[in-house]
Amino acid sequence: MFVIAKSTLLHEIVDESPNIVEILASLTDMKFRRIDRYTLLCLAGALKCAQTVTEMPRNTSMVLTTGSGTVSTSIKTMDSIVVKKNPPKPFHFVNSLGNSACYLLAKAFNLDGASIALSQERFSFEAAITQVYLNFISDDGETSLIGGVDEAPTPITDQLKRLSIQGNYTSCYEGSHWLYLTKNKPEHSSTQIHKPEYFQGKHEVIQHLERNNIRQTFLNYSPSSELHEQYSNSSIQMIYPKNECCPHGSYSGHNYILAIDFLESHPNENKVAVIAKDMRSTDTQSANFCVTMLSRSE
Amino acid sequence: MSVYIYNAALQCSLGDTIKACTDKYLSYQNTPSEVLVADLNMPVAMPYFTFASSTDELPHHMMYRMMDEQVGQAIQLLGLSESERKKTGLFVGSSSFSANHSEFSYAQELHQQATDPLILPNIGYGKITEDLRNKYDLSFHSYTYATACTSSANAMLYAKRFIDHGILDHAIVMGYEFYNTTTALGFYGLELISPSKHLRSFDARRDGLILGEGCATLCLSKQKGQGAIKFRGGAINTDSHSLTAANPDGSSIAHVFEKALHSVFAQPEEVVAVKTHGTASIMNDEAEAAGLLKYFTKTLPKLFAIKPYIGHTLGACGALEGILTTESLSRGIIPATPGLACATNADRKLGVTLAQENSNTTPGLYLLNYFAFGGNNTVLVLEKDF
Repeated sequence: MFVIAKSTLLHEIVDESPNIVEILASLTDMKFRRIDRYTLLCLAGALKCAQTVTEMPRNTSMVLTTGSGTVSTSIKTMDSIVVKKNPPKPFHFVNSLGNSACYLLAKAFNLDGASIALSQERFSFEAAITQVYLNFISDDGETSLIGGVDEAPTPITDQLKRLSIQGNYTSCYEGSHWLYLTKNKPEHSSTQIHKPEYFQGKHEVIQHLERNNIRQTFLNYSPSSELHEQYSNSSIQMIYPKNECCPHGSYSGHNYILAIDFLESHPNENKVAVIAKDMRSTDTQSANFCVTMLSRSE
Repeated sequence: MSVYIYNAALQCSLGDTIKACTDKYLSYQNTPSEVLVADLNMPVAMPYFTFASSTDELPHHMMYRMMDEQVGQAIQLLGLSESERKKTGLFVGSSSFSANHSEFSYAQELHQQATDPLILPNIGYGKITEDLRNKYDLSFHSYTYATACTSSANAMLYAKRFIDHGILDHAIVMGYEFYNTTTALGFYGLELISPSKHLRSFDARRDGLILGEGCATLCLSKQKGQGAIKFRGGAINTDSHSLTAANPDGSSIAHVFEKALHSVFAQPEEVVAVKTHGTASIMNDEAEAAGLLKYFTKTLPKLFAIKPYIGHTLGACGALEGILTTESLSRGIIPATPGLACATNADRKLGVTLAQENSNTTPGLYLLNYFAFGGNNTVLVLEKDF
């Protein structure tokens, strides 16, 4: 799978959420009515990604992935029923379904390819990459628009409770990260994304990195000091998120953009890996990891 | 490549076992009960195909137990060793996930006057799948599909692709949908629930759908067993005509038929019968009928609908109707939809009729249609070669 275009929107949400309507308006003249924050994030990210794409084949597939799903619109739906004692507004209900955003993507880009919305609690962006890989090897289209979207509705304290996040976090990430991928190697230089691989425990991860001669990694979590030391001993470099901001589903997608940017700006580096860790586990000895290798394709 | 379907478990308004459900389905006698959403400013009553058996458990406890038991039954059916489980993925589809649990927890906190009640405490689509994957030590390749009414159909299609390409040896596919007020009132608000309390697919008298509960699990495997139905392939496309209905001119549905049969290198003449989506909503049946007529230009295959007897089980219908169809085919029966959309009461504008009597299976292809909000259209291709 080769990267043709990419985009990332990553916001650290402390008290207030940024205005996505303004971001969307800067990207398109199309008018979207009665859509929720999750869908706004989805559209803004995808339109940003497609800015540099000259032609998107009609049968381009769309794979939308999320860790948490449509949270704010589902809150409105539940508030209507449980507190206000009224049936939900029809558009709130429809927006709360996982794949409603795919319909708007298809409309925005005039696509009729396969679309799916899916989730994997721990490795949502990796799940999407794997489905695109399957689309391609199953001859189901040769291009794919893939996005990882997670919103962080305020108050953040509530969202952290929903995510079962322990600790003294005062902020949370919200993001919409998109790749436009092609099955066949493009004429120009591009980044190749390989099929994500799963491992149990940090030792398996480090062995995999060493076996593939990968020296640069992008982590979706903050490594323990012990792991930090082990990485240092093995000459593997790490880039990872800030400690005080809670990373969740939305951070993984962002890491892919960082990794692609790194490869594009470091001509001497040929390979990097994006490493996601199962946030359910605090023990890196037994935790599950997902490692995706990215390489330069000339 | 072909994989084979092995039905593991089924619970819905028809019964609690695959045999009981299939027997009752083929009797074409099931009728809905009624649910009342009382805790509203204006209480709402609606017909509903609720589970055949009730328990004293809280609804979400019953849901978690049933899902857990069904995965256990699937593992038993496949006879998986510990190492084989790691090459077995879990693929789950639903439209409501843990909405019933969230509704209960929030209402309880409000009732108990908790100081800081958390609205929508359960989020995300993948939590239950991950819990089950962990418990049974299944492959990391376990995913949750959230494409509304095509969810578990799409789960089936992707599970097959994992097996086709050697990533997995087996897959357990589950579709589930349990009663929750969000879904019930959501469909009520969209005015899609049948006022006459009858779900009459493609019929001139049709006036909407009836929702249904269900939890269904099937297994996919490369291993061929006696009497197993082949799962040949399928396709998904996206229709941007409308958020809640496929294009009524049938173009997008004809396109997904073409894509599905192309995926298995087959021609329309090879199709013996089609299990329609047949929700009995005005728009769905219009689009589906137009798609059938547009694609099958020479002869229409036999058509039947399952929803009149189990309701629309939304994200579960992929697996659930898949099981009822394959069980019927294994018995040598192409099901019928007696009394609905026959020559005298079919909606003439649609131009299709449903089979009125069971017929014997013949070797060939059998299609499963599923269409969802969000413009998601899925057609799966089965083959009976005996």
